[in-house]
Amino acid sequence: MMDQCSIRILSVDDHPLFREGIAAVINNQPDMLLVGEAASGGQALQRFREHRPDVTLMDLRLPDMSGIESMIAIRTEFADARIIMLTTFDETSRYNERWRPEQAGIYSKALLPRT
Amino acid sequence: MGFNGLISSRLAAVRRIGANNDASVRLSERIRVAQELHDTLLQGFFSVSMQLHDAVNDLPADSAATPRFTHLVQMFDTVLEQGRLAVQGLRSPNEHLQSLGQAFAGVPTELGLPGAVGFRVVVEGRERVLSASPRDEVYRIGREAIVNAYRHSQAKHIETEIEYRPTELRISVRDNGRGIDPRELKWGRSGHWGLQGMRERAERIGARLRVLSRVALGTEVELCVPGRIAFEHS
Repeated sequence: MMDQCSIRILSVDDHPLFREGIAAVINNQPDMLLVGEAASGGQALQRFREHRPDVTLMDLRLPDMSGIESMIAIRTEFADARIIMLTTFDETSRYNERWRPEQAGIYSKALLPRT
Repeated sequence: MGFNGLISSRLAAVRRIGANNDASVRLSERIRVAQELHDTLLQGFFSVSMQLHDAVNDLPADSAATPRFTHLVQMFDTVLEQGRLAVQGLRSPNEHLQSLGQAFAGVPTELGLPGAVGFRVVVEGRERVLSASPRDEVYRIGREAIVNAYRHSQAKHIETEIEYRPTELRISVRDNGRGIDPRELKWGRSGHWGLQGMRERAERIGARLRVLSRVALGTEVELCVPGRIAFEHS
């Protein structure tokens, strides 16, 4: 039941500690559910196919491809996938020039979460 | 060109290549260190920060612990942000392709410093090519001074001047902020401003660093690098 009204989230990051933090924060929210985790762009597509999450949180740098490439791979198959890109360094301006915010929001990890 | 001339120009070329190699070895080492800090400390700290925020939000509204934990979380985030900027500085790849003026001009944007502060870079004299390894240190000292001015001075205007003098390169970063207390400047607390690190960098390349400050008027950090060290000789 809870599954139906929760926001279902996939977390993609190759750093286990960071994923652990994301998992802890999401699982503490009553209306969010972490449905899967991936540590690479390739895994992200696999997990996306399995879980069809509402929202995907994705690191901009992944070991096998960039987060942007992974996003393109997912959106090629699932055009309405919603993906939030996370980055350690302030690369937001560089990417938001090329990728419109409606395509992918890019946020600094340093700004997570400021509730 | 005589034989001796040939030899000495060869030697000069070899020395130049040597210097460039040193610089590129240092750069790749820096990028490696940055990568490691990024993968371990930063990701772990981000994770802890997120969870701390979450935990503090869960505290009962009337809990006596809330103010203390809120303060600690803020402190943690400040440290994390400084660490993030430091790591970003270690790995910034473009600084070598630009002139010193361009590199300094890009510092506020690169480090996401507040846009409300007036920042400008002035270049005096004819620009000269800088030797690779002091150039790197000069850039880092200047950048540190700029970041310090942004962080601590509460200034409305910050100006960086690069002066190509015949016998030396002079860099000055000045602000119209609150200044540094003379006692702080003399005793320990100046570590807060990263001055010690800048002095050490300056010494390493045989340059001179001076800090002039008046409370309520502003601060000027001046770096002078002798020409024989700073400029590339053809």
